[in-house]
Amino acid sequence: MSPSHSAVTAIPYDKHFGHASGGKIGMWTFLVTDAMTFGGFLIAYANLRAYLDWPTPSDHLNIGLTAVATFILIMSSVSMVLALASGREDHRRGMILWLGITIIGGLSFLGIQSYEWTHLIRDGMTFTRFSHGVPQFGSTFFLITGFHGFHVLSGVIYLAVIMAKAMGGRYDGGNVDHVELAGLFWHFVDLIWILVFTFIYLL
Amino acid sequence: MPVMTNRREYLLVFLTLGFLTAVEIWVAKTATGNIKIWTLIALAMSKAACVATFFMHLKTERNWLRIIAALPLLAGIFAYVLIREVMYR
Repeated sequence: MSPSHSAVTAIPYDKHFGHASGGKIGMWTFLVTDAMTFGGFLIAYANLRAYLDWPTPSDHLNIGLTAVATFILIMSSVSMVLALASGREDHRRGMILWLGITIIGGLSFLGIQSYEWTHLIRDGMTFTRFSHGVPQFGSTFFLITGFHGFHVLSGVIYLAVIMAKAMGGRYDGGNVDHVELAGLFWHFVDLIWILVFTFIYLL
Repeated sequence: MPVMTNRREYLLVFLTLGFLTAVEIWVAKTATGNIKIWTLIALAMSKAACVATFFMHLKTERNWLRIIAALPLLAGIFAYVLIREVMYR
């Protein structure tokens, strides 16, 4: 490990952004643009629902199973924030443990989503076809949950890389800026799912 | 950067999120019409605000970063205008 990795990086004070690092401002900017992409999808979904004969989602989607997946994602957000807390306290083992639990949470979510998709496709719902109503029901469902699922997968890979670096002592000394950035992405994935769950499944 | 680790606060936010999720399921099963729609949207926005404020630490950031983070809320205005227009047609 190089000596530059062992000390906490001092971020100079800025009158607008305080001690936020360039990486943090960049990550927030990326998340805002990503949120607008999701916003575009959800607006398109709402518009289609407003003028098409839209099926009742709870008649065709498994709300109970998805509620479990939602709860798992919320739990993984907690484990992520605990990983960052451990890192800030220079507790490497704790950070690795919580990162591992977060990754398991993400993989569990993806497993549940795969199970749900498999059953829906078997029941006649695909990207272009839906046996019980307008095809846009399937198109928007797979587009939005698929785009979100891709974010979960990206987040799991991102966290696995961070965990590997943590195991190598990269964040010893409380220098956890990169862990914080990964955490911001992971919490964003959780935040977006909270909205997707409401708009696609519950309403 | 100051060391800020508040495990008790994280646990409280987690319990709040779990409780609100349970309320959402209950509202989705029992409520109808506009009450259902606006209650569920309010619950989802409350949960999202909890995640952004406490887990993403917006509460300890400066105002400029909060303003950047709040920009996607503009989508709500676009959504409202577009949906009203579609319903008018």
